[in-house]
Amino acid sequence: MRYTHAYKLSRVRGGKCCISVDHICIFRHGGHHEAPACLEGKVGHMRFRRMVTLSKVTAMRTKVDYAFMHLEVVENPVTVLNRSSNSERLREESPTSGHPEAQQPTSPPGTTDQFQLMCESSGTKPSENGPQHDLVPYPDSNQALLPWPRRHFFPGGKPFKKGKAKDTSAQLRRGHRSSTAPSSINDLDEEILTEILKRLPSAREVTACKLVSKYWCSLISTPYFGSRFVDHYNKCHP
Amino acid sequence: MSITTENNEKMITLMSSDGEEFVVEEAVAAQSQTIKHLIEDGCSTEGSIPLPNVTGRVLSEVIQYCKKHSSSDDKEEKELEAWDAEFVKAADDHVALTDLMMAANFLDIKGLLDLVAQTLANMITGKSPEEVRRMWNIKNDFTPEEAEKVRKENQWAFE
Repeated sequence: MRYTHAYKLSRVRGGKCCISVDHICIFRHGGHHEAPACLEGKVGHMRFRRMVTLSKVTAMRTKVDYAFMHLEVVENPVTVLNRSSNSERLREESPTSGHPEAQQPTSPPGTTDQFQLMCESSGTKPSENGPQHDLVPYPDSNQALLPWPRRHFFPGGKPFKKGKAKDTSAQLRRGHRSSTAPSSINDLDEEILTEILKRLPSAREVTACKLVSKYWCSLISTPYFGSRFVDHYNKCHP
Repeated sequence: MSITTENNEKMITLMSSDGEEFVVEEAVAAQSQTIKHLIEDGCSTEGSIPLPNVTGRVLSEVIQYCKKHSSSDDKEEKELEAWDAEFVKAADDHVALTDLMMAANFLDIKGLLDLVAQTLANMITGKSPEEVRRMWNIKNDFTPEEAEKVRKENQWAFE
């Protein structure tokens, strides 16, 4: 059961990269926390590739900001293959009309020095996928793939007819849990839990929290969390 | 929608996930980096800015915070701190705070995120893992053996 969807992940304006959080929320609602994605990019002569999990995309925002501050980011859709059991539900809710992979790449003008983003499913390893140039350029004819009324967020193009955009967002509102009352703190993504736990007063407190659950334990054990904790600790104890 | 008031302050309309609309001054809304970027991008010129994962209840609290913090730039820091303390106290429990935290994260309001995260961290501090689990309704998915292993590996923290 595979689900294909295209998203635009980011754009840069005024030197800042703004990954639209609303798009990522879809992943949260659909329970895609662990779906790994491959972000691949090219900046000048430098190519990079990084495996991320979708729930880390929020965290990536800072890194992208920082590392590529003065670069233009081309508005790229992202291909996400959904492995979760929610895929059918999502499929119904989003007017998916085609598989972005099937599209031929047609590069927008001036992509050479622009930063390209692409998320891929883990279902197929990136290396098995051949060269990953099958980006769907934006704006393009795949507007129907975007479940959000993009015109509000990305006014560069106004891809939705007014009525359609409303329908879609209304569907999403009905279909997805909004941020009301998370039943437990485990509903929070890594970024938010990191923000909380890094503010604990000592490493002892943090380590003791490893026993709370496997999720907490694995989060606290990551080097990423460690460095965030140390940064914060040093800031508070100069 | 951008309307202009008498004192020339541009107004922005924000719409919560449950369809509630809030008209706020641009300076207030721009406390949120997310909204600020949207305004810079010209998203506010047409209709309202939809915030699909913030409910009206949470959004009104967020706006309350933003209003206070945009209007009191030159006021004493102490007063603002006291206000912040009252603000999180009024949010009353960790579930409400968690909602607030998610909104602050989504809207990218650093001050609010700091404030709420620190409050939640303070709530966790000094609690046993069992107490933390109960407080946040977290399921203990460790087997006794696994828990023992974690405990052993991190003995120093449990002494």
